[in-house]
Amino acid sequence: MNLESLAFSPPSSETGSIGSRLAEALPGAGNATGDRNFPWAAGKETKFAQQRVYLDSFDWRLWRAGWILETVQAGNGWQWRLFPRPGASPSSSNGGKKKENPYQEFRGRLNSSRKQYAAEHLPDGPIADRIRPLIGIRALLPRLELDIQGRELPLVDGRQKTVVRLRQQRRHLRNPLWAAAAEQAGAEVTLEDPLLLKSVRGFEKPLRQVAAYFTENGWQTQPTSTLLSDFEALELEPGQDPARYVLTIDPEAPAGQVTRDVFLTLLDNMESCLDGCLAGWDTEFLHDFRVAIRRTRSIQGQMRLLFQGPTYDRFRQSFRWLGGLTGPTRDLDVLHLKLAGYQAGLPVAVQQSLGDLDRYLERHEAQVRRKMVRSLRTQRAQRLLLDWRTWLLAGTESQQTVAAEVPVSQIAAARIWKIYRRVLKKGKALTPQSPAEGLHEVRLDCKKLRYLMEMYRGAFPGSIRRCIRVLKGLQDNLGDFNDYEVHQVLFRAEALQAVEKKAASEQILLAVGRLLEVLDQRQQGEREAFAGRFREFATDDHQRWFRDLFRRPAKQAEKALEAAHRA
Amino acid sequence: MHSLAVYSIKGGVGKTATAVNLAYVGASLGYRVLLWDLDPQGATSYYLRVKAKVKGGGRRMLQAKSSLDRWILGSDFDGFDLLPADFSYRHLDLVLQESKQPRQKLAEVLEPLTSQYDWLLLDCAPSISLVSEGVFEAVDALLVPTIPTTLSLRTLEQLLKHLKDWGRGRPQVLPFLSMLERRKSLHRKVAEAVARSEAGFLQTAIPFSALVEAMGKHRSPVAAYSPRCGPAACFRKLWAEMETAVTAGADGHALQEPKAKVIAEIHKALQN
Repeated sequence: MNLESLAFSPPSSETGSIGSRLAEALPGAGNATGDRNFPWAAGKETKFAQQRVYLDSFDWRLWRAGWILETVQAGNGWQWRLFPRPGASPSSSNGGKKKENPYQEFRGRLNSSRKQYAAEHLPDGPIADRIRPLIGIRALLPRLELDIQGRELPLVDGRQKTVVRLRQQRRHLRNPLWAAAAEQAGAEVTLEDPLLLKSVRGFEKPLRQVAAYFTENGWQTQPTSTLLSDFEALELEPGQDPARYVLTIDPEAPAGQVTRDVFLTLLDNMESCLDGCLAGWDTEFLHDFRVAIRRTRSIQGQMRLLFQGPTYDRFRQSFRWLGGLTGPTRDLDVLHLKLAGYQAGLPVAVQQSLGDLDRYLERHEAQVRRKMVRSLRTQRAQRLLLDWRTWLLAGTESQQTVAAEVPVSQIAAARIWKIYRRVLKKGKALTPQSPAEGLHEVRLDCKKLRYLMEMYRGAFPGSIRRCIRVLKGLQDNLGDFNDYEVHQVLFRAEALQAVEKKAASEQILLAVGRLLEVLDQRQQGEREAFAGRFREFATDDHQRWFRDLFRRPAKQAEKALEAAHRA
Repeated sequence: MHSLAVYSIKGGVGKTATAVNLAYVGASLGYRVLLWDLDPQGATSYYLRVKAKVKGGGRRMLQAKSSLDRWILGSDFDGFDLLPADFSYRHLDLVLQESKQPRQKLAEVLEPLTSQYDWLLLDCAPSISLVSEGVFEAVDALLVPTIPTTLSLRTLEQLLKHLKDWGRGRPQVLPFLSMLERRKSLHRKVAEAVARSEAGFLQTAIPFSALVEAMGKHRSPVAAYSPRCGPAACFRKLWAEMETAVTAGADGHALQEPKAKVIAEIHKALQN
């Protein structure tokens, strides 16, 4: 028996004060003399109201680490509480200060209740020490708002001491992110709780006696609500990372249908990130939004053999346009995030000059973001997502080629095998003297390969993961090589603009010069590391992994396509 | 968990009223607060409608191998728990004397409660004894109610002198003016002198009030039966000031502490 709280459903469904319900259902109870099995008197019934907000990042980083963070209205202000999620073993990260009991709860006062918190906005203290490493650059957002209103009736003993509390409450649950996005359906729900019996520490015996008395008189015990049941009431799945969705695929299913499902999954990702992009909750929303667009575009290109007709090509152009809208904002986000890391190791004077550039980047980013938000709100952008979904769901035969009927494992393997061999061929041909363009070509092919393997991984259960891991090692090198180059171009351009707009003195150009030297050196380092990384990628063992997994189904696809064309 | 003792060598200065009201404020702000009524008179337990009786007495509590959990009782207010008094507490000195490290004993028995509560408050009996020294070892700060009179200042001076060479683990000392009656000229003079000097007093003073005295009648904290009255507001203010001081002390930024010398000067000035 849970001795902290019990829930009961009384036979009568009448509403009103707890005292009157009690008197009506159990005339002997509550007057201290009427029933010797119920020797407590009803104390003064009071009303109460409380507000709670549960915070987590969009991808549930706290929940996944085993923590729950809530803010509670208390006194004239707010209090925040960090406590372990029931059933979880929370990570005990406290900045490595000292060993601690992992089941500890932390509480602290908040001067104001914000709607969202970035790591830097968290008030210093034990809670922030634990949260910051977990959320990184993600903002804490309100995931569930809970307004509780109700009445409480104490049952008191002969000394007028409260020994049990009866509570009747109505809870209004709200998903603020959906509500903010005007998706009213499912964003709010009101629940009438059963009558709750709350124990008072050290007085567990009266609680048991009251519970037994209620049961004897026909009252039914009910399950008490939990945070998880509240999330479920709002159709929220805490712990589910919206950007890491793995599609379940039947390898024998037709490639056309599965590819539509892949596109729909990516579209879901895009739409789930869109509100965060528009509101600028944190930079990861835009990043995830762009990744979903890039994947869509890449798969559209790779799988164009499955679809036909001008509409499909128009969608490809439109998604290219959509990706382009978000590029400048993401570039500035990245520059801003990276600048602090790049500066480390530079002389203090240079770092100070770069402070001007940092401020300029922040302002410029805000400007560019406004423009992006306007564009994303246009009818063209909104309609694109809507039309794409309609087209994907319609799935008429006239839009598809004969290849769409071939099993997905064969078609996906054919595409993967082709690109993989291209990467091997181009990579092997590169020497330390080859121009940078060669590396970029390999990088782009690697991206296509990665997206194909990730989006169709469900069709290749098991060993595809190790192939993705091998590819990732090479991609990290190529990605860094490219980033250092792109960042040099962008930093130079931004510095010149800052000087031109008189947002910084010409001194900044010297500082940026030093920064570019550092980036250039790092880029050269990645260039030199490429040969080793590629050797690792293309070892005989690793080649065998890819061959075993993709060659045979790729050949089968060729035969199936030939047969289909002949027919 | 932060820990705080409401302590004074002198009796009748408002320790119990302070302890009960502050614990209530802390709990109403959402903290989990435990108040230990260490005074064998059991006034705190009485205020909270709990029998001043502990099964096995103080000896069993201090010699318990497990934690003090089994003796904790919930008050009538959410988040506010009590370890009741017992008349046997009058012999706590003797019990402590029997242990290997008498001064550390209280801290030792309180340790297992640190993850259950955010604040621990001790309502101490008026005296300076081995129990008091155990309290000094166990808590982060001493909140010292001081009536604006010469005798009260004198006992504060005594306490500060006693703690001067305490060394590591010395609690912060946070005196404040208690039972202040502005119509009394001595009270006014002390209050002004304390405000003028760097005596290290908290700025909040608790006025003498019939409403506070009525706690015995209502058997509950002032704010529970008169939430908007002046004394209730003063206790809220006192909590805020004390919380800032104690958390700053925990982070190594303790506020300026009172010095026996400064208190002695005020005391002397009043005599002239």
